[in-house]
Amino acid sequence: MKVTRKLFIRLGAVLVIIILGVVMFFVGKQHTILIDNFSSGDYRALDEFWVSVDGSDYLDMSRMMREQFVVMGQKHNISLQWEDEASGQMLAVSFNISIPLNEDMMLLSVPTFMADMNAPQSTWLTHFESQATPSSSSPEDNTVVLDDTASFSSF
Amino acid sequence: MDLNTVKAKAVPMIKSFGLPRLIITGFLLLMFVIAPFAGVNVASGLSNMFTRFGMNAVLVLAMVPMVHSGCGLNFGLPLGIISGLLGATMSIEFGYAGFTSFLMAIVLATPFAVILGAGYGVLLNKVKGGEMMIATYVGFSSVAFMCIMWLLLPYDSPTMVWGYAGTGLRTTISVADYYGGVLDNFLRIEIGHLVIPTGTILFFALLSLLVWLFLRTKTGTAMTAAGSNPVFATASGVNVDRMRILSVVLSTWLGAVGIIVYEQSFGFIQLYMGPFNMAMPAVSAVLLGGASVNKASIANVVIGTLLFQGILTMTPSVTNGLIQTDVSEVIRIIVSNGMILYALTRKQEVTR
Amino acid sequence: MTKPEINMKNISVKELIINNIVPILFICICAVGIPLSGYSGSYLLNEILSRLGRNSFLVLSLLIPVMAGMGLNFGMTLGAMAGQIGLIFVSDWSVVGIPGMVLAAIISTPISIILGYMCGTILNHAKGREMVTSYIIGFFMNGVYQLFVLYLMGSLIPISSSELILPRGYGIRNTVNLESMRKSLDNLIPFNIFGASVPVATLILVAIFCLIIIWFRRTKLGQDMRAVGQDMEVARQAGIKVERTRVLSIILSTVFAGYGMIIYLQNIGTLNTYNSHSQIGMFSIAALLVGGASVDKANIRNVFIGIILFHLMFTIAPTVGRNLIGEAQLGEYFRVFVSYGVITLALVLYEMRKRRAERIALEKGEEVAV
Repeated sequence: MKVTRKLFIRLGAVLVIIILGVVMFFVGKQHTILIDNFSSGDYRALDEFWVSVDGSDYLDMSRMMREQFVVMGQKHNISLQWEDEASGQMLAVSFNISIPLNEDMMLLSVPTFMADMNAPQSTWLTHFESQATPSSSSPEDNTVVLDDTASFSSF
Repeated sequence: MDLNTVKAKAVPMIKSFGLPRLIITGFLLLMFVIAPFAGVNVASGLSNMFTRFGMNAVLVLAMVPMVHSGCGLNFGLPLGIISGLLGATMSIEFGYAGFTSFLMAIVLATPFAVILGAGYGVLLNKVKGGEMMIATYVGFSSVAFMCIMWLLLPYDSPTMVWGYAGTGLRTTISVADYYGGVLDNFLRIEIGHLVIPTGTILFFALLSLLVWLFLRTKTGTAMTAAGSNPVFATASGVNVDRMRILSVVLSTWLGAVGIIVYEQSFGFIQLYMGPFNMAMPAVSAVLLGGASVNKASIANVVIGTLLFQGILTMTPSVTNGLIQTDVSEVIRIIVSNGMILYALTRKQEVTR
Repeated sequence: MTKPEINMKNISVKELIINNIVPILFICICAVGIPLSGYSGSYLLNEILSRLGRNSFLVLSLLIPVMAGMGLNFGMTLGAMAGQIGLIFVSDWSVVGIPGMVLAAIISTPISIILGYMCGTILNHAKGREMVTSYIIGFFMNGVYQLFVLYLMGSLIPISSSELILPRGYGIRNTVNLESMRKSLDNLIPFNIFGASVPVATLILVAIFCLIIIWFRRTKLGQDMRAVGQDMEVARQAGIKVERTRVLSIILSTVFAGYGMIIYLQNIGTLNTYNSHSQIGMFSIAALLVGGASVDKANIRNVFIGIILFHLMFTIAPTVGRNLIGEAQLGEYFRVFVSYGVITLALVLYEMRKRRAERIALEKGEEVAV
């Protein structure tokens, strides 16, 4: 009787740790959000707006600008501020986005979002393939330092 | 029935030969068998093996005296190597050339080997039972200490010091103009791809013979007695501590000669961190040859060095030919340290 | 019973110096070196605090095997390897910051347990020469680690990030960038004192670990370990499972060393895949010994004194070398020499003390017999 109880406690502990690991994976996964002010299709780029991700300082974005924000986790809050052309008033909007777990880099097109704020997230937040290619492979790239005395000076 | 009799015969045989040694020998034979299929020339493989055997055998021989006197495996080999390096650099500094420079390197290394070895021996006598760990660290500290000394000692031969600073020895020094290959090229045999460095092997044979003869003199047997049963040895009038010091001096001196032989074949003197990891391969080679923490013979040295160097030379070329990957470094680390672990954990050795 | 006490008083001053020769030597080195280095107080304070944060956990992980009489656990490199494997996976999955560290720790734990179990079992076959054996195990497992990281990762073990994999398609690159994790723990709670930043969160973790060790000493297992450390045969007769206790002590040490390595590397910010771990055992052990510990006796005080003194020397040595002789390289060699020298000296002193104790015990035994 006692043995099984001990076993259950242990299994439970292992389970809790595994769940913690999974939670950490979701919480700690790094994503890159590209905030983009390019004209796309029918939607014209804004003259200027200010953007903040998760309460960071507002960043000034003019026409044809793209900024990247490196974030941790899936749920993020984006705040935008811009000057309304007609009234000259400052307008602001704040909304939440949820990045799919397996996406490394997402492109948020602000003009598309502005055109229809009620459109589903997938219309203005799209997958983006990273352009960064790994540096060309030379033979010495393949070599590694195995000498264990090499770490003396780095310590 | 048949299987059982085979088993009954095989098991003690394997036990006496040692399972790891059997595996390694089988592995080496396998390498030679598949070498032609991997596009590797067996003759040049053998030549490499003999050359490296000649290079390393004396360093492995340096294990024998200390094991005999019960001081355990000589993890402090770097101390001997340092004496050898001092001798070698001084011989070049004084401008000897050719075979004379080789001899003078040994002669000049001898006083250092004797003094350092004696000090090391006295130290080991104070720490009986914990020799191996302390030997390792004595080796390491002396290498690190000499790193400082190589920078500071007043050498000024232009072949050895850094060109721009004018002081401090280089990390590698070519011995080509001094004693490079003096033994390797003596009576060298060349048949097609097969090259045998006769001189080096003869020199090793000479040293082995001297050690073998020494172990059979009165002092030599006393030394062995001090190792196998110190209480009994003391009772029969042997000064155990003195015998141990003598063996350490001998091991250190052999280490010094060993590194000089190594350099004449390798072509370079490696200073600074060079001697740092030289003890492990020598220790594992002698263990591979069938030695243990308290028993080692010349035969162990020969077999072990051949096996160990054979694996080292054959695996890179064969694996490269077969799978385009060089896993030899990993194999070297696993084999050499696995051998040492095996020796350290064998039951019969623990109860000395 | 009274006799040894009188003895202790008589030679107390000399004994005290001999027993603490290593820390005394270091205090002298630092006292001479600090003015020569010309470093400002706040710089040194900053360095020491940072090094205290990153090394304490590693050095503390050595205490448990000492308690169980297994000497200095040179096999702690095994834990370091496990921690590094965890970090490699985490950076492949691009999990960053504190969650990344936690996840790396979770991944490293089962690996550490397996490695620690192996190491402990082997050490049970090599009683009396645990240190040299654990030292060789470290080397041996380094080969296995290389096999995994250099050949199997990317080919058999899925690693997708092209920043990690060598261009040839398998094997991890020389360095793994941990920039996204760098100092995430150290700077979690920002705090400055005299212009030196204090890694508060890291030090809190270290303090928790210290408390765990203090608590652990009082548990049944901790008591068993101390009994085994005192005398294996007596412990066995008292019904303690000696082998199991010893294996457990090594497992614990390996697991904590793995966590320590993760903390260490988050401070450094880059992982040298093939040599970050190789000297970590040596430097941690040297630091512990500098703090006045010996092979059979080490406590938390030794850890902190040791790290402060040892790393003070480490920080100032290259500059002192340059200022004195005009060669920074000389100072670097000097600190390597001192690290090894300290271990040698401490081991020699320990063995000599042990032999003297044995001799005294023998003489006493003879007296009783007479």
